[in-house]
Order: sequence, then C-alpha cells, then structure tokens
Amino acid sequence: MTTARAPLIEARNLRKYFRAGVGLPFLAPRAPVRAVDDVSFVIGAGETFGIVGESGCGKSTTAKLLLLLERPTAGTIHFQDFDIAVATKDELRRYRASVQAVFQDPWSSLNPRMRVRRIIAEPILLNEPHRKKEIPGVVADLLRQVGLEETMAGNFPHEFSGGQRQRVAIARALALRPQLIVLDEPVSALDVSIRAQIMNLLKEIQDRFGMSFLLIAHNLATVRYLAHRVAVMYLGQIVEQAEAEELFTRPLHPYTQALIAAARLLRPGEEPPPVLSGDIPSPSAPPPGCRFSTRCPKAFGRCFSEAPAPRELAPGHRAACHLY
Amino acid sequence: MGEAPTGPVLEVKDLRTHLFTSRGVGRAVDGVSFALRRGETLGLVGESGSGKSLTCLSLLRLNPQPASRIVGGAVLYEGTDLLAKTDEEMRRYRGKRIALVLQDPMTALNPVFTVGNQIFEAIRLHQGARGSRLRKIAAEMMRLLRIPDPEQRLGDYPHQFSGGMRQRAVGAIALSGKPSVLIADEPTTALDVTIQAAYLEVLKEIQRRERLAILFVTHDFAVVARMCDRVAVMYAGKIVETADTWRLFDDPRHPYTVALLRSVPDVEARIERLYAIEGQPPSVFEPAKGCAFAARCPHAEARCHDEPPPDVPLEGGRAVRCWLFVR
Ligand SMILES: Nc1ncnc2c1ncn2[C@@H]1O[C@H](COP(=O)(O)OP(=O)(O)OP(=O)(O)O)[C@@H](O)[C@H]1O
Ligand SMILES: Nc1ncnc2c1ncn2[C@@H]1O[C@H](COP(=O)(O)OP(=O)(O)OP(=O)(O)O)[C@@H](O)[C@H]1O
Ligand SMILES: [Mg+2]
Ligand SMILES: [Mg+2]
Repeated sequence: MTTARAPLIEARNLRKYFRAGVGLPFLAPRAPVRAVDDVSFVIGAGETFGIVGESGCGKSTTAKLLLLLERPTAGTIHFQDFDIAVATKDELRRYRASVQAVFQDPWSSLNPRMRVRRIIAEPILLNEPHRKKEIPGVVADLLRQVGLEETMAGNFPHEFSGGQRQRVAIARALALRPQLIVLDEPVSALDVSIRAQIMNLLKEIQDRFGMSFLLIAHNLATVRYLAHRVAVMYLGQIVEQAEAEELFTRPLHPYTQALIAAARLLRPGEEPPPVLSGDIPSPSAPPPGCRFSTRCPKAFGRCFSEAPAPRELAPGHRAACHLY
Repeated sequence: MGEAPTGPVLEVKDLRTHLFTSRGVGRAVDGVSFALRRGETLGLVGESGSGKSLTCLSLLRLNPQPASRIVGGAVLYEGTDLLAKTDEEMRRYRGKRIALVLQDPMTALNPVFTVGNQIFEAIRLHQGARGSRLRKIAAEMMRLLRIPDPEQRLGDYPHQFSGGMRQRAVGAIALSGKPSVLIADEPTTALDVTIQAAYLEVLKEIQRRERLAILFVTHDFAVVARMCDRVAVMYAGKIVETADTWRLFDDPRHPYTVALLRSVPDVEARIERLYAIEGQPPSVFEPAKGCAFAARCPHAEARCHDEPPPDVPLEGGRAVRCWLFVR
C-alpha cells in the first residue's frame, strides 16, 4: 500500500560525541557524552519522518547534524547525489537552501527587532540575493500560504500570538521552497486548538509542495497524526523504526510499548501505568548489552551482556531487541 | 503556621495586569480570581496568549516592566496582600514561600554559571546547607528528576543540557527552596511522556509530604488528568470556567472549554483532519465589547456581543462566565 519513495536524505552510522566540559574540580575527568551513537535512517521525498524518544536521547543533536549546526564525530549524510562531508561549495549552498528548520519556541526563535517582512525574506537575501526585487511579492504570497494577512508584513514578532508567530516561522522556512523542513517540537508551546491549526497547515503545505519533514515531538498524538514513518530513539540509538500506523498499533520494543502506554489519556479513577523504574543509564558510559536493560521490565540474561542488533521483524518494521 | 488548616494559602482577587505599549493599553490579565489550598493542585489551561504566564509572573510581581503593570486586585498569601509589600519584603517570599518555574528554561537559567552552581545557590539560600551536603542534596534532586550522571552533570553549563534536561534543572531549583506554594508555568512541555510521568510522581510525593499547593499551567490534558484536582480555563485575560478536573472533562459547560477539549488529539486513534476552533481571539488592545469568545461561539446570542457575561456559580463548586447560564 505504501509506494516506495525516492530517498532524499540518508544518514549512515552518524555519531556525535560531546567532549565533557571542565566539570567540577573535585571530580575526575569524564568520558564524552555519546549524544548520537550510530544512527542510520533514510528520509524519502515527500515523507514525514518522526523521531520520538526520551528527553536527552539525542533527537535535537540528530537534527542539528542534518542542519550542519554540529559536525558529526563519525558517519555520513548523503543528500540526493552527494555526500555532505566531501561536497563542493556549490553543493553545500544548494543543501543549505534545501534544508530549513522550525523550532519549538515561537517567542525566542524570531528576531524581536525585525519586522515580519524582513524575517521571512532573510533566507532569500542570504541565499539568493539576485531575487531581491521579487521579495515583496514572495513575502505576501508566503503570508497567505500560512494563513496570515499580507498587511501583517510590517508587524514585529511581539505583536503576534504564539500560534501566529509559529506561522511566521513556517513562512520563513518555506521561503526557499526547501526539500526538507526540520521541525523540532514545532507545536508543543501552543494550546491544543492552535496546535491543531498548525498541524493541519503543515499537512496542507506538504500536500501542496511535496517536501519532506523531519518531525521531532514528545506528543505522540502529534507524531501519529503527521508522520508516515517513525523512529524511536533511546540513549543515542534508534531502537525501533516502522510505518507510523504499524508502530502505534503493534509496538515491539519494550521501550516503545512503555512510551505509548504512558501517553494514553486516563479515565476518571484510572491508575496511571507504573513509571519506568530502574537506573537512568549514562550517555557517557552506556550499559553493556542492551541500553534499555537497566529499566526494561522484560529483560533477561543476555540483555545485560549482548547488544541486540536491529532486525527487520515485519515488512519495514525494524527493532533491536532480544525478545524476538 | 497557625492559620486554619482548610483556608487557602494563596488567594487571588480580581487581579489586573495591563500592558502599556506603543499600541496602547492591553488588558492582558483582566480580573483573575482563584484560591489555592494547601496540598491542592489547580490547573490553569487556555488559549495561547490568554494571560496565563503574565498571571503567574504577577503573583510574585515579576511581570515584565515597564511593558506591563499590575493595576488592580489583591494577592493574599496566608492572608497578607503581597501587592502591598515593599520590594525588599517581597524578596523574602520569592523562592522560599512561593517558588516559580518559568515557562522558558533558557531565561530562567544563567548561561554563564554551571547548572550545579545555580541549584547550590537555591539550596544554600533556602535550606542553609553547605559544603558536601549541598552537593548531595543537589545531586539527589537531579536524580529524582531522572537526569543521568547527576554528580557529573552538575558541572555542565545550561547549553550542554538538552531542552528537557534544562526544564528539569529549573524544576530542581524551584523545589530546592522547599516552598509552600509552587507556581509551575508549563514545567513539563519539553519532556517525553515517561520522564514526565516520573517528574509528576516526584511532585506529588513532595506535595503529599509538605502539603505543597501547586498552580500548574499546561496545554496538556493528559497532564491535567494526572495532576490536577481542579481546573481553571482562561480566555482573553479572564478565567471563563472553573470545575473539578473530571467534571470539566466529562461535562464542560463554557463553549470555549467544549471546543478546546474537542481539539485534543488522541494517541489511540487514527485521525485524518484535526478539529480546530475557527478564527482568532480578540487582540488584547481591542477587547470585545461583550463576551471575548462571542465572535467564535456557535451559541452566541445578541447580548453576548453587547455585554460582558457575569461569572455564574453552578453546582459542585464550579463556575462559568457565560450568558447561556444566566436565567
Ligand atoms: N553542546 C553540547 N555540549 C555537551 N553536551 C551536549 C551538547 N548538546 C547536547 N548535549 C548532550 O547530548 C545529549 C543529547 O542531547 P539532545 O539535545 O540531542 O537531546 P534531545 O533528545 O533533543 O532531548 P530533549 O527531548 O530533552 O530536547 C544530552 O545528554 C545533552 O546533555
Ligand atoms: N513583554 C511583553 N511585551 C508586550 N506584550 C506582552 C509581553 N509579555 C506578554 N505580552 C502579551 O500579553 C498577553 C498574555 O501573554 P502570556 O504570555 O501571559 O500568555 P499565555 O497565556 O502564557 O500564552 P502561552 O500559552 O502561549 O504561553 C499576550 O497577548 C502577549 O503577547
Ligand atoms: Mg531536544
Ligand atoms: Mg505562557
């Protein structure tokens, strides 16, 4: 039923280790934080690829690697027909224009001293300065596409509500007609009704322009609604990856199962599911064996000594777990 | 000490905080009243921009200045009006008696000090601990909030933390003051559901032990269901409905509450298109003549557009600000 999509971007064995800071003087120097530790995925053209996972597991770092805001410690990023690490200046410019971002915070992600017109035009001025003359028309167009009025171009960010600011951020991300938009918690600061408006808008934009999204969100309902495929990260690694519907209806990895169980809306008098107990493992010194073994309710002997390799357990559904 | 055990520890009466900008005067907080008892959690939900954060900041007189000013009302802490205190006196309430978790962790943390230093400072100030005991208390707090390698990570700067780790660090600082009232402005938005569940358990445990009163601002109804005894719904600077949590969920009365709850997506269902309330709220600078929700309300009648509705008390201690309930 799912038509194979042409790959747009491919991350292979990406790693990002952060060297530890100075730390406190009385502590021994520590091992680097393995924020992203051997992550591979493909995002297809026109596809929304969701990443969910525990706070601190490396989602934003993965996004920053794709946005070239951080340099990978190891691994490669392929975009269309070239490898980012060895790309020419021209290819890199093409890449930068093709990959845009919208971040969580509509209050601080827009420059408060710039009018909306300038904020939206900025990527064009930086990347395609020869189009300067077209800017007024393009800005008016973009504002309409995100459901704002053209007359708002002269306003400053503080004159907008949170939902409107997020629309401005989306308009800016659309300015260069990118092929991928990285959305790191794009709606979590908004009330549920405005959140629904923005999510509907993102869907419409994708239907119209066919670009891909990398969506990072803690709200699983948001991810289920927008994503075609979903990866679940735990402590720097992808532990499960599948089509969204498959993942939400047949989660295989015990961590994914715990995540989905914790996201359900409770009924009156219903007891919440037990909190995942056990030690929170260190990203500087991950546990031997499966990284989830310290908290997994189903862990047995070899989970504590042998790292499970990801395997395809159903068509398009991969998980790294010894249970299967 | 000494006050009646059931009396509210914090009582807010007709609080008004207005914005003063080049665009004119905006009634961002426009007559907010509620009471908070010991050991109780009151949820505050509602439209983005409806004045929830400004209400929280105003309670401690930390509202942005000169952009805004508290122009009326009272904030009674154990019966004394905080709005009548001097700045010096006010400092003795912040952190120790009433702690505030700001919505944006980056503005709450100082980028040039380590996270550890900022937690130590709070513990030193409010619990009087020193030396190695200080480190122990701070690391234990981080461990409770599920930050890995707490001892080590105390030495990190805020930018070395992930979004959710920063948010938990801000929570740790607030709880270190052992306050009797906690004002938590979206304290868990950057957390995944399992860490969030753990965080809420920690809050509840402290609440049981210390009879902490909590004002909990959130957009997340799953969190409201877990955490809150009662809920207040805010729209355009006013509380438009207050009820016990389950009564509000099962039987919302205000048309805005009804519409808001309808917009909540369910993880357990596959949805093609989400419901969203049509239109926009009025600008704070051009308040509606009648009910602020009238322009978007499916039940609006003539008087809804002309006259602001009164706050109508209903059964079970609930209240709703809507003409539909005035006979
Ligand atoms: N600049 C940095 N220096 C040192 N460590 C960092 C840096 N940025 C991130 N880290 C660490 O890398 C790990 C992963 O962080 P990241 O921000 O990618 O997490 P995340 O999955 O986005 O979490 P959240 O859901 O809380 O935003 C964390 O342990 C974090 O402290
Ligand atoms: N420093 C400021 N200068 C000007 N206007 C402000 C300032 N701070 C807040 N406002 C305005 O005051 C109103 C209330 O904002 P507030 O931050 O309290 O909303 P909120 O209910 O917390 O929204 P959210 O759910 O998005 O956090 C909004 O119209 C906002 O634009
Ligand atoms: Mg993040
Ligand atoms: Mg707010």
